[in-house]
Parts: sequence; C-alpha cells; structure tokens
Amino acid sequence: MTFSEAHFESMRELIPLYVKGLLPASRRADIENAAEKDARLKLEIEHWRKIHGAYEVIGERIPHPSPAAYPRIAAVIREQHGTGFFGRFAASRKIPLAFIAVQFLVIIALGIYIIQTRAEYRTLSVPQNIINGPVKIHIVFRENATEAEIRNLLLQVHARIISGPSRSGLYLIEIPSGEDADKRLGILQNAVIVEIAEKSY
Amino acid sequence: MNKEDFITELIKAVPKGDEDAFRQLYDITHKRVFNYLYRLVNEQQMAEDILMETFTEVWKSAKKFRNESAGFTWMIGIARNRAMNTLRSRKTRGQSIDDHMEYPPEQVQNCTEAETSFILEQALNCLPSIHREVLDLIFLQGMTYEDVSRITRVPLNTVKSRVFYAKEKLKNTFVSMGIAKDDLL
Repeated sequence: MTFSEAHFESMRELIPLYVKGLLPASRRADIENAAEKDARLKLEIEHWRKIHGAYEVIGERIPHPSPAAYPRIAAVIREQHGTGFFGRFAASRKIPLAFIAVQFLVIIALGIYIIQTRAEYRTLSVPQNIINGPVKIHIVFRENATEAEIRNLLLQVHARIISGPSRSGLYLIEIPSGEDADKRLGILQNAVIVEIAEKSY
Repeated sequence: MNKEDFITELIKAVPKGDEDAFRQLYDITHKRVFNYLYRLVNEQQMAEDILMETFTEVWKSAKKFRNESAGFTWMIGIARNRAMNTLRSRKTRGQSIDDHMEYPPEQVQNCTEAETSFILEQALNCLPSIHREVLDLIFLQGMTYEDVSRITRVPLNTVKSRVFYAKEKLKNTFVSMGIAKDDLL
C-alpha cells in the first residue's frame, strides 16, 4: 500500500525530526504507522538514520574549545561593561536616562521658582514704606527768630519737631511725604527765620 | 523544568548582573555553540574567537531577550550573526566564505557497509553551506524546523525544501566521490 503524494510528502518532511527524536509521541506513532504501510517512507527513515549516524560521528570529532575561553570572556566583560553597580550603570540605558530626567525636572522646578519669586526681589536700599513715610529735615533757625514765628512756620508746612534743639540750635523735624514735600521744603528754606533746612537721610 | 527552559531562565538572570548564572549558562551551552560555529567556519581558533564574541554579546544583550524563541535558539542566532560577519570580513580580505564552508571531498572506491558513516560524513562536509547548515542545526543542535527558520531567517517552507535538497545533493556528492548514486541513500 502507498499513500497519496500529498500525504507521503507531509510524512516525509517530518522524518529528519522523527529520526532525531524531536517529534512528540503522537506524531512519532503517526510516522511509524505510516512507514509500516508505505515502503517509500520506510526507506526514507533508513536513509535519515544513516545521516543521523554520520552526524553522531561528526559531533564526536569536533574539538573542544580551549578551557581558557571563559576566563577570556569574563575578562572582556569586566573590561567593557563592568559587573558592579557602576558597570551596570554604564551598560544600562534606563539609569542614565532616569538621571537626565531628574536633572531636567530640577532645572524646570528651579526656573519656575525663579520666575515666581522675581517680583519679590529686594535691593539693600531703604524699604518702600520708609521711602513713602514722612520726610525728615534738619533745620536751624536764626537766633532772632521768635517761638511764635517758628510755630507758625512749622504749622504752615504741617511739620512737627522730632528732636532738638541741639547745642548748635539744630532741630530734626518731619513733614508729610508726597508731591508737596519739596514745595514745603522750599518754603522752609526760603523763610527769613530759617538759617539752614536740608533733608535728613 | 527541562534543559531548554533552564537555559532560558539563566538568560533572564543575566541582565541583573548575575555572574553565577552567566557562568552556568556558559558551562551548559558553550560546547553546543562551539560545535555550531566550528561547523560553520571549520577553524578552531576562529570558532573560539566567535564563541567569545557570542557570549560577550549574550551578556550585553540578555536584557533584550523577549522569550519569543527558546533561549538557546536566541543564542545560536547571535552566534550565527557573529560568524557571518567574520566570514564576510574574511571574504573582503580575499578569502572566500566557501574556503571555510567546504571540505575537500575524498575519492572513495569499493565502499563497504562499514564505511558508510565515514563516507556520509565526507559527503555532508561537501554540501553547500545553506544545505549543510540546516542539517547541522537539526542533527547537531536538535533544532526544529521552526527554530531553524528563526535562526537562518528564511521561511519555514524554505527550510523544509533545503532539507529535501540536502539529501538530493548528498547523492550527487556520492557520484563525485566515485560511489553509485543510490548505493548509500
């Protein structure tokens, strides 16, 4: 009995694997049953068994690699890639990428922080509330100025005495700040009873 | 767990820097890899050099192993790439790949049955590389047609036809050795 060509081919192509023992038990049984019924398959098995036998001889004749091969491989690996943490760091793509990502995030966070805090920058000069506060003036009145004349002048410019007079007759007064401050200072400086009137810093 | 699964597990341990796993992997597989390489290049020193390159590449690339094939099949694929690169570079330096791939046939007269294995061995060594490689992978490495297809990167049907033609070419080789075509196969 012989099989159809298609069935024969499907069995024949499996014979090298059958001979090598690479087929599962069910497929092995199929081949063996088919070979009993078809002499061509039986002959194929015989041929491939010979080839398999030749390969066993070939396998035995292949020399062994040198025992020094592994130490050489290990040395190359240690040299090229390292085996400790730093070796893995150098060999890994993920760790350096994560490192770069963290650096990038820190730079972004710093940028945002700087932008947010820029409006709050301060110089070392006098604070704004002090600048906008009363204007202090050192003033010296003429010796012949009466107390009434002095009081009238100070009332005219809305000034009040903070301290004084010193031994040299120096008063420290303050006038309200604002656009009129210079005008008021001018009134003081031009008053006939005033010797000197200058801003105090 | 069978041997092939164990090899696959060892490959998966390598990216963690497990040198013991790598050493075990080498111990279990290096002779099989070397056999394959030796048959490809037919030169001990060259086969050893490529074996070193192969295992260095396995250490470096184990993290890329995706379990799409058995671990050993993946390793043989690396070995094959390395061997082909080496043979190509030799070819560009004036040596033919076939200088390494083919063995000189021996004239055999009046063959006896006891000599069958020897004659077949000689004839197998004379096969064109594409046919011999397929038979080597099946009979020396125990690879299935699917494995051979993955390693050689040719379609499954091409692998099957190469197996078929390998046997036909063996018969032709017998003729060149002075043996009647159907005496042995």
